[in-house]
Amino acid sequence: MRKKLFGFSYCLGAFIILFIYIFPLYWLFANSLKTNVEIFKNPPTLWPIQPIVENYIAIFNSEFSNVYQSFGNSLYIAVYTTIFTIALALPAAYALATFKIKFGQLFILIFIIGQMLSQTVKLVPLFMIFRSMNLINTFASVIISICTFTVPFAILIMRPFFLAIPSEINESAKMDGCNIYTAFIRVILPISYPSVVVVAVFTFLLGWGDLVYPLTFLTDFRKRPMIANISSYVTEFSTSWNLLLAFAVVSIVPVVVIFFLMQKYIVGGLTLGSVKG
Amino acid sequence: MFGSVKRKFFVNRASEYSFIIPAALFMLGFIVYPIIYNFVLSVNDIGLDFFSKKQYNFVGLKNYTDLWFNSDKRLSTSIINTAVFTFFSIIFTILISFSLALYLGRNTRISRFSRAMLVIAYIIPQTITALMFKYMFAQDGGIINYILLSFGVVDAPVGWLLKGGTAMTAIIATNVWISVPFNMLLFVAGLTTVDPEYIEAAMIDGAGWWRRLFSITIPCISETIKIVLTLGLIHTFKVFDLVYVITNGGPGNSTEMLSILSYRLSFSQNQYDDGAAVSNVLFIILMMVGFFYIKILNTKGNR
Repeated sequence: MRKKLFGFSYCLGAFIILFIYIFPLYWLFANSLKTNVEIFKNPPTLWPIQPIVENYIAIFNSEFSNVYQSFGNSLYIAVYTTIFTIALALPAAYALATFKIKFGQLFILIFIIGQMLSQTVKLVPLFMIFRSMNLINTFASVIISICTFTVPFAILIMRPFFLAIPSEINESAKMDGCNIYTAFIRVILPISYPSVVVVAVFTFLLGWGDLVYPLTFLTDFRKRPMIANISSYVTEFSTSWNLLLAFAVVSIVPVVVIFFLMQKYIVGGLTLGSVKG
Repeated sequence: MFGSVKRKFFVNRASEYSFIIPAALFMLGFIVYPIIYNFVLSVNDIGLDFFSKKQYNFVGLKNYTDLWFNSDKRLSTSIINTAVFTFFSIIFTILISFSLALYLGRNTRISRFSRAMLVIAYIIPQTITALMFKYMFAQDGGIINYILLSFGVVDAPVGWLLKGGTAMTAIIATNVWISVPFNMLLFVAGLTTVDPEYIEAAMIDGAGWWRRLFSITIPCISETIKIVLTLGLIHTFKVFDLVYVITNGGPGNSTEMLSILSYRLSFSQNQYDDGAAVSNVLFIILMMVGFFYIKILNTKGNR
């Protein structure tokens, strides 16, 4: 009896914690279905009196908010960031874990610093560099700058995975006539695919959610991804919260979808880079 | 014969290095070089006319001293703001995430489910979280005021984002909400390394729950606490998105952090040299914390 009661109160506690975390998201969604008048109604209505989809119709039809295009921009930036990050980080992490690389420790140190660095520390110099390369208002500038923190992050997460692969696997691949490249592609990659998925998921999310680089390097609103656009809508047009909230909901749909599809990788992978050195 | 051995060795080594060279070049070009270039910009006089003239005009540490001794005190204010923000964010994040880790750290279905669901708060883009909280902190019709009013905590709606102190509180609260899930997972991982035999032995000796917590659990996870602390310092010190969306440094410059100040100086006022100087201050502070972080990682790796 006592045990049952304890179990119940435990669940209640867990429920309250969950509520604090789920409620803001629910609130965002619920209010995106309200009129602008109802949004600031006092007392607030927990669920819209008359849920409307007009906010969504409005943002999808308006030239100004440009949902399709900025969604596409976000997707483009996130996908290419992911591809570019994996292409650079995967072989580097493998080399740092398997071969005796000169200055290997120094490289690792630079990657740790790179992961720690604030985005704003690199912002002015990168702006100057991209400006002299005529890359302002191109996706390339944003993708490159996001990679300056996703590549170190990816290397630091994947290196321990590669370290854990027994050296016999490399040896036997060599015996079977693989050279260093084919061994990497045919033998090592297939067995390290879970770590690649973890890295890909997080890189995609980081690319999707990045604010400061697109905000600075893309001055053309039509080129901006959703997150950068919404931040300027907040500061400039904060009177139409109904549209803002609808826009926000659309912008996190991919994040929520990825969260539920990839939950295993996300929850398990979240603490990897920081705990294993 | 000698030559072929040597060449084979060379080819092997070269192909090994070919794995790391692209990433290394990328890091040199877009991390190491910007750090150095940032320093160069900060000791030169660089304004909007730089793009037409392309001329460096060395001024030494003038940008730094001007910022520091300027009567508007923006630099010192932003350092204090960042410190206040970081201090309270970390204190509350550690207390809450450690308590939650103790509470949700068990291996039952409900605690595993709750832990997983909390992570969603962490992966939502910070801009969107900031937008949600900005809306919830609104003076009229904001849900937070409504809850506080209905529980009688406050008598009148609070204009959270209209005054410096309350705006800072709102940003700290939002940041704690974001950081707790990640740190909770770090603590949960740390707690699994605590040997249950120690706890049992202490129980047999009659140690109460608090005594066991302070004498066994916390000393056993000191490594995790160090990591949480240093990572927390690093992540909190460089805050940008949250503050940019919720207050943009305002009202006045009461929530202006180092990163926001650097951004505003560079891209609203086109004083790239001052912006670079401010971000260099941020860089130096981050490196000091980073030094401890790297030390912790190294001692862990060598064991």
